[in-house]
Amino acid sequence: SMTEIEFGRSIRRTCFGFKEGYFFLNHGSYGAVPVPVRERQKELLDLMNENPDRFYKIVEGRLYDEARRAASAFLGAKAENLVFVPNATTGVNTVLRSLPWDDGDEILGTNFTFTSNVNACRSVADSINGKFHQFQIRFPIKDSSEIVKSMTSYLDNFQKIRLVVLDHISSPTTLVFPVKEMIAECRKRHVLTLVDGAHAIGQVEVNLEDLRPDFYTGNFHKWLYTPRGCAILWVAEEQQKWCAPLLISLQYKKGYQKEFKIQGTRDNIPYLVVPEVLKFFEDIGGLEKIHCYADTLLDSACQMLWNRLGARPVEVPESMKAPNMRLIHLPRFKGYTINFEGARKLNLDIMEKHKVVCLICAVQGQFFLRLSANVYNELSDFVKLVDALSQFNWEDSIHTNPVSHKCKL
Amino acid sequence: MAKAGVEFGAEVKKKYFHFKEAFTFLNHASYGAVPTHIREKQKQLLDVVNDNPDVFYRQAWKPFMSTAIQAAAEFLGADPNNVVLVQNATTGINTVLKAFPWKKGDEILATTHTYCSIQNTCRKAAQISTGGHFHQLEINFPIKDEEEIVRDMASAIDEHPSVRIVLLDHITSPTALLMPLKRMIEECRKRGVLVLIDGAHAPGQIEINLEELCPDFYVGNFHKWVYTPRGCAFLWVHKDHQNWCTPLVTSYMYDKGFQLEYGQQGTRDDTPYFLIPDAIQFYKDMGGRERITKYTKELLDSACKMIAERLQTRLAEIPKSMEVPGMKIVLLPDCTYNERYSNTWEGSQNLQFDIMNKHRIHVTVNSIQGRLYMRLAANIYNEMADYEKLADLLVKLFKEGE
Repeated sequence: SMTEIEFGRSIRRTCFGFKEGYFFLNHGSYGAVPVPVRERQKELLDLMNENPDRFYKIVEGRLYDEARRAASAFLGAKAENLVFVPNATTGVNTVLRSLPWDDGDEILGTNFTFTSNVNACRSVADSINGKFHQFQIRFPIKDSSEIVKSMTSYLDNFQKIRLVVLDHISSPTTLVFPVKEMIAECRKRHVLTLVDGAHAIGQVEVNLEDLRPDFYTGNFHKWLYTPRGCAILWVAEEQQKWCAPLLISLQYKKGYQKEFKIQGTRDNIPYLVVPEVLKFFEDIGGLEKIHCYADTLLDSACQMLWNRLGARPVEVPESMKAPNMRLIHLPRFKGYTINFEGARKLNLDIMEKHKVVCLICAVQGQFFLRLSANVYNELSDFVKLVDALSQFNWEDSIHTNPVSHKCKL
Repeated sequence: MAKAGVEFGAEVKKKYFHFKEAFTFLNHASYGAVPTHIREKQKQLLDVVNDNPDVFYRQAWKPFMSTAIQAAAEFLGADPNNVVLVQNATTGINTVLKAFPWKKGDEILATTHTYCSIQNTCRKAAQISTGGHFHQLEINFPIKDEEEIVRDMASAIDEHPSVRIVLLDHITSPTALLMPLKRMIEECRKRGVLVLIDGAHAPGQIEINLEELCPDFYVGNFHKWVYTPRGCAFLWVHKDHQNWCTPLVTSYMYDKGFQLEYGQQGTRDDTPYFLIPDAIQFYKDMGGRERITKYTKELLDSACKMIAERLQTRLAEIPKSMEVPGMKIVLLPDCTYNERYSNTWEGSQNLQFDIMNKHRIHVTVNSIQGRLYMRLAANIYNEMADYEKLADLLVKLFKEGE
């Protein structure tokens, strides 16, 4: 049974079907789909294809509601407040595009807001003759209250801010934000909150009715093992009357739930397998067990990275550390420009040459390694990663030049 | 043509499709059908993605995507630079209508045969400019000559000079009419209005040459008549509009150009798109448009004639030039025995539902001009026996008062 399979090589082989010879240390980007979930997806594809009319007219609707109820229960949400969307980017766009803005309204994010969200915010702000502000977050972060203070001072200085886009866990910088507090501060000031929980679901405990933002969107296909194209959008009851989907279809003006449910003929199976996915998640031990395992691995990995490369995790308060990810400040590499393009090339080179899948990102003029750990990883994966990184040309190493390695940004 | 020898009907059904036993499928127009080898390929592709997600999403998807767009563009007589892939026609229409820079007073002209979801989209798009009202050109049976429709459309635009976009079906959904688009586009151009074509049913049924037809926007499904898995359609946008016709989702590639913007819409499953080349190959292997449509048209013509005779009704009165090879509508008798099948929208839904649930036959029924019409479809896995089964049932329901 699933509960008895050991994490590491064993579960990788029996449950995940990953390509042999590759080492997967970037769960955060695309997640992973275990074999039992893949099988269920294929089963549903067969069901759809052998009787499409019956599937689309009867079966799909029933499975969608079951999946929605299961997703809601998992997230401490009222099922009436929750709908499925293909990904968090769609969730964010949905809210931004249907909010009844007034001309000149402004939006607030941070310098760590995910690029797609920044683009969406800028685009919308332009269309309403408003502005998109980003308050700055700098390493090292001593206390999460700094972040809250930065936000509130921005809100107090820019009274036209109507909506704050908050990351529950930022990408790629892996910071867990003090969202409960931030939401409370926004409420005090009558500012709406849209939380992007793309990385939160399946990594941290999420209780939406308790958290009570105005909007929350998050992926199931990152840390919760669904096929890709599965995310949720939760909308507080009082906002539902105007929150319409991007796609207007059959159920226009029939109410929040109905409008989002039918989005033209498409493949909704990634949503429909949620019950199976949650069962798998539970069977293998759930949030705590996974985090425990990942934490131990990541600690060892960080130790290795320090010993062999002089690379150190970024300083953040304990409360802001992501359970299954770490952000490591890397020394300078020769031959790669420290920007998006340089990082992209670096990741591809490591993937092609060493078959190690990892994410190096450029943030504020420095290279960082975003480490992810999941149940199919073991220490040898991280050894392979460090081996691969050691091959590169270091411009200066902490062992020869410790002073230059203060994490300055 | 490797498979040209295979006989359409039961043989093709058995060899290439795998439908649920004991059901009769006369509604290809709604959801299409996916041949078994393409279903297998889709599952394999999903495994490829899942076995190495990073390699796929960082690298492998690009050539898959460009190959798919190339194949799609060739099939549609289009410049691949003008074609992007979307999940369904509804998405394509929503994209254009939402991206258009509406000003107060601007109007949309569609028709009374515009698909219901699209009518909703028009209402929503018109919210800013007219408070939700949009014009619908009335097209009523009998239709004597397609030129009537062209004239009526031209008059409608002249009567409402604030019309900015004309939304036309290539093939109407509830009524299976092939519209005289070339003439209609001409008249629109003369009047400086933009033309958005909903060609959901067109690819695979009729010849399309988009660069020649040259509307402003064209949307079409591959998952209806071209055998791809569902969630596979395209949007063609004239070069002149590509700078403002942006996708519904603003994502990573914002402002990076038409192709790049539409290519990235957040992480999702694009495997249906990647099966376009295989689906087109299957279409060709089955004989292509000529052989397929010849079969379906002959079958549908006979079948509908037979049903109309047995029910003592008739077909819709339309010119031959407006008939389509895979879809046809038959007038149903008034149901004097059963309130459940009244000549209303509810009646149409009840009838359709009952035929599916109680009798395992898939059809579409619509209420048009105060009467119920049954929309029948034909594809290469159908044969006359399918329609005879339906006819037996309809006689029972309408003539014998079951």
